[in-house]
Amino acid sequence: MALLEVTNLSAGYGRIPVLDRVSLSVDRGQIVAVVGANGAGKSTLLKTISGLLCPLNGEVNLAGKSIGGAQPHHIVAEGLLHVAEGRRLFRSQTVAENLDLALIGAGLTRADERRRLVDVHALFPVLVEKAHLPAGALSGGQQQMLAIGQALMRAPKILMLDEPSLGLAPIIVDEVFDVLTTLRARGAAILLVEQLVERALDIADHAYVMVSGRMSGDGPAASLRDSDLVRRAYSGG
Amino acid sequence: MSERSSRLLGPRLAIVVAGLTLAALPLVVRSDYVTFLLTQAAVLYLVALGLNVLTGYAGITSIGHGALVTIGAYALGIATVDHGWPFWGAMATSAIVAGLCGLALALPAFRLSTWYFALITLGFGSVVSGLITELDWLTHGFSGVVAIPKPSLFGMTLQGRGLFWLVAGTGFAAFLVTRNLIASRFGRTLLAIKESPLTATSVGVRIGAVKIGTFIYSAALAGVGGAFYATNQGVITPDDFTIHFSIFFLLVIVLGGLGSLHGPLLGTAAFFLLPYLMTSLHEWRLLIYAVGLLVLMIVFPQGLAGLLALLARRFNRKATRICLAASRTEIPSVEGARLVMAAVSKRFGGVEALADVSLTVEPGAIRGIVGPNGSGKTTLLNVVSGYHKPDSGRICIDSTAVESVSTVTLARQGVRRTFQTPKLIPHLSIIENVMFGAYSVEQASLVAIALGLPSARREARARRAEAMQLLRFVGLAAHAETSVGEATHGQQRLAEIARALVGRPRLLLLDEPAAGLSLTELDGLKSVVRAIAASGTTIMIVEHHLELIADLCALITVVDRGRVLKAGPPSAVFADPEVLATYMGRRAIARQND
Amino acid sequence: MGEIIVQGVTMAAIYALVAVSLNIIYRPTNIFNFAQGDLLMVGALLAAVLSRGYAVQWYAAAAFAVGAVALLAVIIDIVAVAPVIARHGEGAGWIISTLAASIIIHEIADKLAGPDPRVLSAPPPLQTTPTDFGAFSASSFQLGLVVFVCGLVAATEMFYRTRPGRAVHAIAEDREASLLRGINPRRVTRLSFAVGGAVAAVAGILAAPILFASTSLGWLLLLKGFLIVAVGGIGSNGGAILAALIVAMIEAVTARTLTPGLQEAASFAVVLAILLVRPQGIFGSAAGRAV
Repeated sequence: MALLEVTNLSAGYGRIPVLDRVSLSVDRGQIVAVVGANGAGKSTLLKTISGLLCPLNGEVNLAGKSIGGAQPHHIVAEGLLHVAEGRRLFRSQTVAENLDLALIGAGLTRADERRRLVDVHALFPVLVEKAHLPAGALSGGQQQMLAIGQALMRAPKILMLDEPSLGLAPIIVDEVFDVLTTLRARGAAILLVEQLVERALDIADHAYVMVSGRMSGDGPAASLRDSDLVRRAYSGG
Repeated sequence: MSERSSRLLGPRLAIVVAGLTLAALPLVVRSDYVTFLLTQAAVLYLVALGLNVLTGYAGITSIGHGALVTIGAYALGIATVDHGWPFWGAMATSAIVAGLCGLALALPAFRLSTWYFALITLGFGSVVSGLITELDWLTHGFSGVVAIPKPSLFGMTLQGRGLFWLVAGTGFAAFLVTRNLIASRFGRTLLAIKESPLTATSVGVRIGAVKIGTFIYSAALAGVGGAFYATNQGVITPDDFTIHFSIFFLLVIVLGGLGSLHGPLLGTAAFFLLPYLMTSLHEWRLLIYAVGLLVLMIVFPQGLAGLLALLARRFNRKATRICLAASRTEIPSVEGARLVMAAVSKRFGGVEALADVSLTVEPGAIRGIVGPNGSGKTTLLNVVSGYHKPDSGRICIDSTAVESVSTVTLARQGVRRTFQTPKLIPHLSIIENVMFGAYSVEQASLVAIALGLPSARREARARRAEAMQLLRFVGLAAHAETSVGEATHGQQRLAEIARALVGRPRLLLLDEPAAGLSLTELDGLKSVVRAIAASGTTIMIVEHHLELIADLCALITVVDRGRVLKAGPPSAVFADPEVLATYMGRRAIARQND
Repeated sequence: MGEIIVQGVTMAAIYALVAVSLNIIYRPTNIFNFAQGDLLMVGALLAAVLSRGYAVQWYAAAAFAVGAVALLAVIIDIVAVAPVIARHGEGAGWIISTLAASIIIHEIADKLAGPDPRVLSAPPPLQTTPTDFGAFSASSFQLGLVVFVCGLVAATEMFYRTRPGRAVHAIAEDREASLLRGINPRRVTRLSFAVGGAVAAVAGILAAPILFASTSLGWLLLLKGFLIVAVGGIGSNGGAILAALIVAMIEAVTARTLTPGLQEAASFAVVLAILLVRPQGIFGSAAGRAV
């Protein structure tokens, strides 16, 4: 059984359905990508899984436990962390405070907390230098590192990222994606929503293609790379 | 009978019936006391009507209207009793003084957020209460003002029924004026101010001026209400005007339904009927009202009017008239503007949204702006339409330097835009939203509209026809009367474009118009955009949909992380390796080249 | 002269307490609780009734009153605030609902306790009788009050530097991001209401020895509280202290020359003028201003 199992999930805003019976699964040590045009519903999918939106139908199971419809902070406690689109940080607080805040309610000992911080610093050395700057003063790439770092402070079972490449230089995107592959090597499960299709398919093991709220297909990333499916979905039709 | 007059017959008949009922009411009622109460109710109605415009429509919560009524009442009392002024002159004074206070209160409303302002009105109420007892050389302090005369008209003293007819008549007239104003661009403006201020500025509304006007109108009505209150009572003392006086008016409009035309009437009727029915619970009156208010706000904020509307919809499924789709009409041509951006930069905190961006768009051209998410495309649009001031660089639309004018001025000069998520006024229909686009070009004055003069009505008809023509142009004619809340995303998009076209813009900025549209809708969008450009308007489109852009635009600018990566015709731009790398990733390109 | 300063500082301490209680509720929610004055009034009345009417020991009576008001504040959140915000989103419906809650509490208190003011003594062993210190005279209660308020504000500011304190700011800054970080905004808000209510009750209990516990105490101090946060910048406790000193001093000075009604009008006019020039208050941050 996969770590994260999404089955026939439907969701939307008010009565307008945006997701229509979507299914996917993610396993440990796997990067799964979801690609598709703007407005296809990728962000809505992640928001429904992480609890920001209530599902209208369908199931979400994390390590066998049903989390569909649960409160977001409970889902975080279960080990599913969602790094939202646009690097939602607490801009008026410092880098160090942002990382510290991520530990709220985690119930760790002081020693464990320090260990987590050391781990995150090892992955993102830039966060050590800038520790006392307000998060709003960081560059786009640094903010993205901080956002991922926040999630990693919880040592998640599964990490979901919504368009981490947004507005970042290709070199920085390289760095971010390198971190993701490192995490995968350590056994993490990653669900990646991306607009940069080729990039996403480069590092993903498996990929799903979304069009207008539905899954139009999926398969091993390598086989999807030059497929019609992706090209059509991407050019927005 | 023509379509137009048959549409008006229903409401006109209703008004005549209402007027006759009001006139007949005191003839039916025997007791003097009940007539007195009815006059009180009419006074309450007058004040509630004004407050509803301010709080219900414009969304500005005022807890100080009781103070304005107090001021009106005392102005009348002091003027007639102490200085022997005739009633009518004194009443005018009430209206003027209260109106001036309204103006004074409007000034903080600009600078402060809604709840700050609500507290200022609360403080104002408290201060007025205190001053009424303090300034006893003026107000007679605790003994109050006694023997306030009744008004007289043509030698007859108006009291009892006569007074009721006067007050009810004034209320009726005020209702008609309010109705005329609400149905016009002012009503739409108020709703826009409450629900979507960006919409208002994008069509050229000077929000400040409208707010001031609304305050003065609302306050003047309260003042007149106060004058009538004083003359109806004959005696006024500070005890009549406690802090909770203002709460009554709020309760009435919430009970009736905030922002509904008939709300004040329903609220006043309910408010007056209830105590009648619960005389034994008189002591608990205020508590019951407060509980009612709380329950309403939580469970049913649309109040009685909302309830009636719900029932009406259930029992009356109107057949929607669907106009058979006419062929796409033409729109009058216009001289397109020339847009020049020179070395424009904009920073938000640590993020460089725009860095040294330069481009030129010739009149009548369609320019596409593309780039990955987060590349600065929308910031570019915002900077050109005046929503953000650039940190450096110049932006010129023809000879106007954008940095030195406000968004509102730009809108009035013919620079219009649409937004990533359509910004429409939720509770109005599509055609009403489109008519709102005419705000800055409408000629009819406030007074002409208020009085329902033929010139104002003519212009309203012309604007409606214009809106209809534009709806036909974008292909939405069949949905003109659909409420925005029920329109699909694609329809809302087209409606927003139609609104932007009112008044013939010289420069039209479209922000991701294709997002969320189906294939057929995309085709429709394409032909609309082409037709707009053909009429002369310069167009700049920010988009993700590369095929659409390639089809529509002669020239495309690619932005990446705030900089212009490439500019040129689609064929050149989309074959450029750097552009491909931005979208696809360098590794993919390397692989392609292997 | 010395008397004016003592009077001013004493009232400033009370006003600052009221403002702090308002800020505690404001920080996570961006809401100004219109029922705060009535929470204060209930605290004062409960303590007065218990300690004088039922001869309960002062601190026990005070503890009970504070606890009851904290509970009442949470009820206000559950009934009048959370559902309205959920329904109306960005709107200002909470103004009317908290106003309604205020009236309900006021009316019930009025029916139960009657309009007559009640006496509540200062917390023993402090006294309200003044002692002469040479240049000025002040009571031990007044001194204790000032010390207590300073201590409370310091403690509050220290709290907001801790992790849970910063969580409060986080949910005000970006509620969705907070949810994704494992913060439970509803619980934070409820707790803030409880603490804000408790501080309001304390403010009432400490104001009562000077101003007397009556059902009109609430509105009076609510308006003062608003003036303070308006001048000091809503959300800023440091600003609240400074603003409280300014307003209280103006009142103490003008009390000699103006009547109470004119005094109120004068401070209202001054505050209005300040707000027109600087809408975020003298010590507020521009970011806090909403247009």
